[in-house]
Amino acid sequence: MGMFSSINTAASGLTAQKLRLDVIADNIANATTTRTTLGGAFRRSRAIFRPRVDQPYWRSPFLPSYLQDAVGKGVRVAKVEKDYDSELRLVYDPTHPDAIKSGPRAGYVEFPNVNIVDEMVDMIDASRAYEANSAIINGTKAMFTKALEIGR
Amino acid sequence: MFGGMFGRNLAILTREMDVSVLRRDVIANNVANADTPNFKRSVVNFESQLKRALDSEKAEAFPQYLTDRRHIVFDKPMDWRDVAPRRVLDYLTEAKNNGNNVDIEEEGMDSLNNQLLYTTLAQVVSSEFQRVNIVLR
Amino acid sequence: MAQLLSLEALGDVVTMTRTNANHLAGVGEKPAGAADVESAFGELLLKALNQVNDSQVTAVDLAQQMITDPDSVNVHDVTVALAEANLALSMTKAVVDRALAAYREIINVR
Repeated sequence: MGMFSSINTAASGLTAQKLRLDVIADNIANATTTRTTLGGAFRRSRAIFRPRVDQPYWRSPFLPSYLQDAVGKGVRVAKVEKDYDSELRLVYDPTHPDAIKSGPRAGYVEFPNVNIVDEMVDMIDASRAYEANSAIINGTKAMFTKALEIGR
Repeated sequence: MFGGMFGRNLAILTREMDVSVLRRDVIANNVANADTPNFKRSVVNFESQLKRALDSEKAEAFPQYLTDRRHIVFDKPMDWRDVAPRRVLDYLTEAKNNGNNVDIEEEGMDSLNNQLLYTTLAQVVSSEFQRVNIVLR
Repeated sequence: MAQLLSLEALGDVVTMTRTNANHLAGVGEKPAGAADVESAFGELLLKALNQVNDSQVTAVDLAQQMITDPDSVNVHDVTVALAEANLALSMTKAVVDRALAAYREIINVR
């Protein structure tokens, strides 16, 4: 609780959604990048979110209840990690400079595991979440203004 | 001019309003440089220092036996009038790829909080003067 | 014997008449006549003035807390405390004005 706590929380949400949008934009821009500096095709990234809670670092079995039921302080981006779980797309094109030279998959080109439709849906979701956070800030500003009219 | 009548409340409130204006300028500078490579944002430090100064007046002084004139006095309460706002470079926040660590959403949030604080302070100050008007009516 | 007539018994609770301040009080009962003084109007007025002063001090403290530690106070707490301080002062002034007017009226009665 406090004067600006909900504004701070909503701002952390805005930052997180903006970063998510940046990650999605990077994925879409690199949807057909077949070779990166690390070797291999581009792999899509995703942002991992964690709640931002004012808790002590260590977990104690005797955690006081006011810490367990405490109102959270927003979201933070834990990391932006590459998605190594999905399979890369294989397209047969022996004339491509990045085609696999030998082995059972010779002639195939590895394309990134970016699904444009999924990324567009994620982008709409991030955009709506950004709007929702912004609505919270507007609501808090309205409440503040109303409170300042008490006893004016 | 009326400092003595209002005690120090009015002085603290007006100082805080001055700091609020300074913070507005610093935030505007941060936002204007949101795309400059290798630019680091600045913040204004004032409230925490003021809190320390005001708390030091309330704290129970450790009893000292100053029997010699060379004994050094510690535990002196800080004077809140000496607290000045400082503009500090924030180089610890994570930077983007171009070396710039300005986060637009956070600057927007700081700006909004600053504006709301200024409005509330203006209301408090006007209320102080209103109280005198009530008695004079 | 006259003392015994003033005894009342209700079950095993006997209300006792205390006529001296040294008589021991029962559970939850105050000795009659010891501290049961009628509050004079002056004392009431002083208590009210103290309350008005307290409300002003609270308002100032909350404003100061809002500056040094914004996370510990809500904006409506601050504005309500300010409004309460102003209102208390207004009402006190109104009461004092009326009392003074009444006093003058009484003095000027021919």
